[in-house]
Amino acid sequence: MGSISLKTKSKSNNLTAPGDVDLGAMIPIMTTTLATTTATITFSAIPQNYEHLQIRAIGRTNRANTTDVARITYNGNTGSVYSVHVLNGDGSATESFANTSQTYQQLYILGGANAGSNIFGTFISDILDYSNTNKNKTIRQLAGIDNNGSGVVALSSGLFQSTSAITSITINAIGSFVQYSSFALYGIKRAGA
Amino acid sequence: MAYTYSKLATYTVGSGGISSVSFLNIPQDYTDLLIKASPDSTYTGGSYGDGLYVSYNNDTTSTNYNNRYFYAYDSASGSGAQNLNSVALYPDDAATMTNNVFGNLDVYIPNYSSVYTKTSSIDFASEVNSTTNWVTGFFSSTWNKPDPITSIILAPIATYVFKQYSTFHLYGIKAEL
Repeated sequence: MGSISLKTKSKSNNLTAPGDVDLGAMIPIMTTTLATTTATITFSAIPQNYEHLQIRAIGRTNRANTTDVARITYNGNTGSVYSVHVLNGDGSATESFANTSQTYQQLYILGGANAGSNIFGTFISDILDYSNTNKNKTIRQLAGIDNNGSGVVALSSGLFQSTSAITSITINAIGSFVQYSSFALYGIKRAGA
Repeated sequence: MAYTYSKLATYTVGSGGISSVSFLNIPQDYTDLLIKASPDSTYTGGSYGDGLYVSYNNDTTSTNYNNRYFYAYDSASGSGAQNLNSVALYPDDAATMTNNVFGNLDVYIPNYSSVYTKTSSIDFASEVNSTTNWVTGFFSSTWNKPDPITSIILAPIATYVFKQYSTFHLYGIKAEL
């Protein structure tokens, strides 16, 4: 059994084990809020000194749909190395489906041009152990859009079959993301980092 | 900033694997706890993955735990309930799994130091490069004890081990007053 016994400093009551603890292990790395319609968002030169990455986004596209998707690739890799598995609910029914050997990871859910005025979708993606070169990368995402009478909520998982450290993330719209769409990349530290 | 993460502990499984991971002497001065884990198991009997067993304060009595879950797999979805402290699925060594693929899951435990029954929420992904034998979903889990949580044990199904490179991270989240 592996165990970690946590210790507390007597003066400050801050943790000291297994490494120094600081408040704020979730650090904003990059954020972009679109001023104009944009097809592609790229987070490049991602630092390797975090344990996990998290993308938080609100988005809307100019395609004539109520809901839309984003297509994500890592490290510029457009080989058939992506899988995605999805659980959707629209308020009355659930849906489950999978796509494998894709050239991108198509993740949900954003607002489309047919959504109500100024209604955006949102998603949060967790990429664990992104710099670990011993692991293929598994992504977990929560997403949703409520269009005041319709909408979708989804839990998705994705597989990026590569053991390379993730150094860049590209998020593509099928059309384009519209103004005020916002994408933020966070790094989450590990203990001792 | 309304809420802050604090990184409390990290465990990375080394060569040969390990039967469980324990976080001990958890301080009581945070509001919530969050575990982020990326495990893989040597279990060969789970064609959709192994279960993650989460025990608090060394209490492994299954009847003290309840959970309800909602999940998707293959081209279907389902929901259920059980008296058990297994709260997520993640890849294992069954023939249906893809080599070198690890799980991705969060266990969120609000008000862990309270003197009331503890409820946690879990979302998980057991990935595989296939349109079958994948599963992703949610658990809502209750530990029917009023005790503050001072330790957490994470384990695969009995007699198997977490594989090398599995990672487990414990964070404290404090509500800023």
